[in-house]
Amino acid sequence: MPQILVPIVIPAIAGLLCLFVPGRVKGVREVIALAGTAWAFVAALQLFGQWPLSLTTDWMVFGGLDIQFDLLLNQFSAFVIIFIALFGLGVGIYSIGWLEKEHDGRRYYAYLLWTVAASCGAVLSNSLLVLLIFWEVLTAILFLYINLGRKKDEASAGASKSFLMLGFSDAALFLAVALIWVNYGTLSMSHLRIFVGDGTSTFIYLLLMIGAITKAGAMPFHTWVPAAAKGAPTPVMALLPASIDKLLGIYLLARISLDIFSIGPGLSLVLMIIGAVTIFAAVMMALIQHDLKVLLAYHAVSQVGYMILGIGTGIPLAIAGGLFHMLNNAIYKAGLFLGAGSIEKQTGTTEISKLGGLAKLMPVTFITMTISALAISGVPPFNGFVSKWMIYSGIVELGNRGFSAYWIFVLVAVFGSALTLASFVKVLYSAFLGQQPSALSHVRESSWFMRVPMLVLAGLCILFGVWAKFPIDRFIDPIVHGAVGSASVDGIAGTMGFWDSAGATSLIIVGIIMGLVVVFVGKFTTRRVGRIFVGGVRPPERMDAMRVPGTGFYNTIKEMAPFKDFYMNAEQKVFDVHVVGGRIGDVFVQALRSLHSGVLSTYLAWCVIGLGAIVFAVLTALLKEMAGK
Amino acid sequence: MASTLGLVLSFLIFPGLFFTAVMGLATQWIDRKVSALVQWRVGPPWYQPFADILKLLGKEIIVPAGARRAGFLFAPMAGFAAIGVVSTILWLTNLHGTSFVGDLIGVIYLLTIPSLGIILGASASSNPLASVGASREMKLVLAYELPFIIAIFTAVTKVSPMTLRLDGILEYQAANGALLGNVSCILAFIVCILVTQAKLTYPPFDIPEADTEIMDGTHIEYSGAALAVIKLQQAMMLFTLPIFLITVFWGGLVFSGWGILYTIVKYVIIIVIIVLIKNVNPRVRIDQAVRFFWGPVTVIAVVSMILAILGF
Repeated sequence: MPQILVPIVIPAIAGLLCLFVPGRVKGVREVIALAGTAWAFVAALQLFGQWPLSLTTDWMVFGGLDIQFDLLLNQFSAFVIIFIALFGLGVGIYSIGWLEKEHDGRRYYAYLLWTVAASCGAVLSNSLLVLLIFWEVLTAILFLYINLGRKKDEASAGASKSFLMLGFSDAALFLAVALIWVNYGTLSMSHLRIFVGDGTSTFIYLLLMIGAITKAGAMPFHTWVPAAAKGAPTPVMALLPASIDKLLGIYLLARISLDIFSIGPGLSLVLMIIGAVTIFAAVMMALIQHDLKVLLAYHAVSQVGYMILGIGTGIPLAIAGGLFHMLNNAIYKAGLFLGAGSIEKQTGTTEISKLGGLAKLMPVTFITMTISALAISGVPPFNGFVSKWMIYSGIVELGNRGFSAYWIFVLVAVFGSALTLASFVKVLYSAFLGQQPSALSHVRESSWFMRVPMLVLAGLCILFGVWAKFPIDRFIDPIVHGAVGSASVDGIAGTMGFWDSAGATSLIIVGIIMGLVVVFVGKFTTRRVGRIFVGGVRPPERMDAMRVPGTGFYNTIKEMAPFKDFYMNAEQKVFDVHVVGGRIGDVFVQALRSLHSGVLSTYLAWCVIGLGAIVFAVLTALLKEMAGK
Repeated sequence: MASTLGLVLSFLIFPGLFFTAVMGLATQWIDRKVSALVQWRVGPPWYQPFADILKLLGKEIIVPAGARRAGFLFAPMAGFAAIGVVSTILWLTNLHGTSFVGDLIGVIYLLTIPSLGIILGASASSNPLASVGASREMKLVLAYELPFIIAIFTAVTKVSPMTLRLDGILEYQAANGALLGNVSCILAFIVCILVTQAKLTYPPFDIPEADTEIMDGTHIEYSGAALAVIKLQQAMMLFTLPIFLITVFWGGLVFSGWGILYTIVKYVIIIVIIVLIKNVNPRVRIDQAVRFFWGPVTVIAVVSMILAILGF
């Protein structure tokens, strides 16, 4: 088997095997799932650096349409498949600890493996049609996967909403592929070079863009992510919407925006506006959520904005930042969802008003989630800061080129990250630090199977933040270099700004040590445990009465004038494409509904009228043809 | 730049933690003396802030029952370290004329870490009043961050070509005069003074601490050496933020001839403005503060940005 097929075929076969292992046999499924993803991961690592590597087979011929099964490994796909397989492996390990008896483990692992297979296929395919097929397979798997959730109503509601919205975007992709075939005569991504000038090419670009950003979950096609989060099994959220879907969506967006199409300033601005609106609106929604999973889902949406903003600028540094942010986001967002899953597993809830004081009971979950939360908020020296910093610098560079509204985008991006921080302060406070409700005193840390992936992801957050040079030079630079043909990212970064992450980190660590020294110089040894001080009142024995739940943290903002309307509208789903589209569709449905009276004779009359119309059409066509002869 | 050891030494002693802390405490004395003058008092002797810290170091640390102990004691250290890094960045950039460790964005982000440390530490204390304080502190950060970013980028817009490097901003000012000579930057500077007031949680924005209401809020459970670290961090903020404003808007620090005196004058002017605002204003509520920063202050900041784009 050609090496390039390994990451696609091996997990697919392993998935089939999983499905056929009977439920009573314990442990075999897990071993198959881990072996399949690990094999794919190793193969992806071996493939790295071997570009360009292609595989082309004739597949089908329909009339003039010669469809080839066309795979190509380039700098970009080689990097993305490594992380797809890594996330598959990590979530696989995690699931061993997470799954319970009532989950259907057989289907669960099969879908996991097929997700990895189809995602690798989508990324490796060089023909737009092959990509589309894998893309559709993923949509279907996601639908089935969300349906495995334990709360059946929410799961099926989320699944059907996701399926509808992704199905819509797949239809847009399909239309785009057809239009490309008609207009340009090839579907090979490495041969297509389209200059966006006229209406058709703009339309095709926009269709492809809709397909890409719906997968990634950007506004206005984002609402499936929170809906899925309500019902889906939590590791599924970590696997698909949080990480792999981001990689795929942004991969496609970057390929079409940088390789296939050469977009002008107008479309660039469209991308940047989508990015900025996504960052801001989604994080404002996240600020007021009370369910940990839905809150994380809104952040998953918000972070996509940074990537789209970065790619939209067209500045090499910001593109690199956007792609690096894609990787970073996948890492910390997966880490956060895995942490949420760990909380859900151990406490039985993700309602943050019911949580509290878990830092002592679940220290590993606490530490890993804190690191991921700081990384997503862009706190230096973690990875999120580096990629956001690159995006900001790129936007300022855009300002240097005469785009004077640059500051609005910088403002939204920087302020968005402050809002993200606020939102995660609420999470850390209410779940881990605040007072512990007495109902949670029995909670223990989750199993090692779940701890290891969380620790690895948190470790990557630190690693890619402190030694950001490594992933940028290894993964990001070749892509940007290939696409834009610029000097190395480091060189450009140096002229715009300056961030020595390793230096800053070591200084911060030295500073923290100094702080501890100050404390130890003081009488640290005579530490005493006392009651809390609440103004002279003796605090009650049961602290539940004095708990300040984090849910009300930002009510001041929620009740302020301009935001009150925004939140009210959002709660009525005015901004939800799915709901608005549904309302418009409903008008037609109601009109047609009156025809369904249930009277058989009416139906028959309609049938006869229809038959008559068909016969008339055929006859006129025939007559015309005869007249022509 | 010198060797790693030299770097660590410059971070620990000059111009890093030790120097910043000493200067911060000295500045606190100016603060207390000016406050005393406003209130017709004599005020403390110059060594009073140092004595306060020493006294705190000698006291035992009381950790509240039910607190997340490690988080409670560890969180303030992060802010202490971060403000030390900011001070080192600003001073070394001013001294050597080349950027060190980070640029403007890095400094803006590092400046939020002290608030973050305070918030997380207060959250971990299991005290309901501290929780209220933490929530207020976070809202205050959100409130001032919006106009602050616009104001800082007003300065960036005025520098041509635009750069985020602190040394670039200083070089531009050395060649073309301080940014404060422009109308737009004067407005931005006023915004930044107000933001500084909030970053220091000085009245009228001492809402997270509000000692007559929630009894020091975020700091309520801290005692002994841990409280000393927090107090040191506040003193260092008081010293570092004016230096930051001078670097970005007012031509930076000058270390030769009459420039030294001018630098000191600039610094003292900013401190006195801050202390005067502190002394003549009552505390506002948190929603008033958020409205104030997102309303009029942001409008001023946007106006300054538009003026900067138009070339004023």
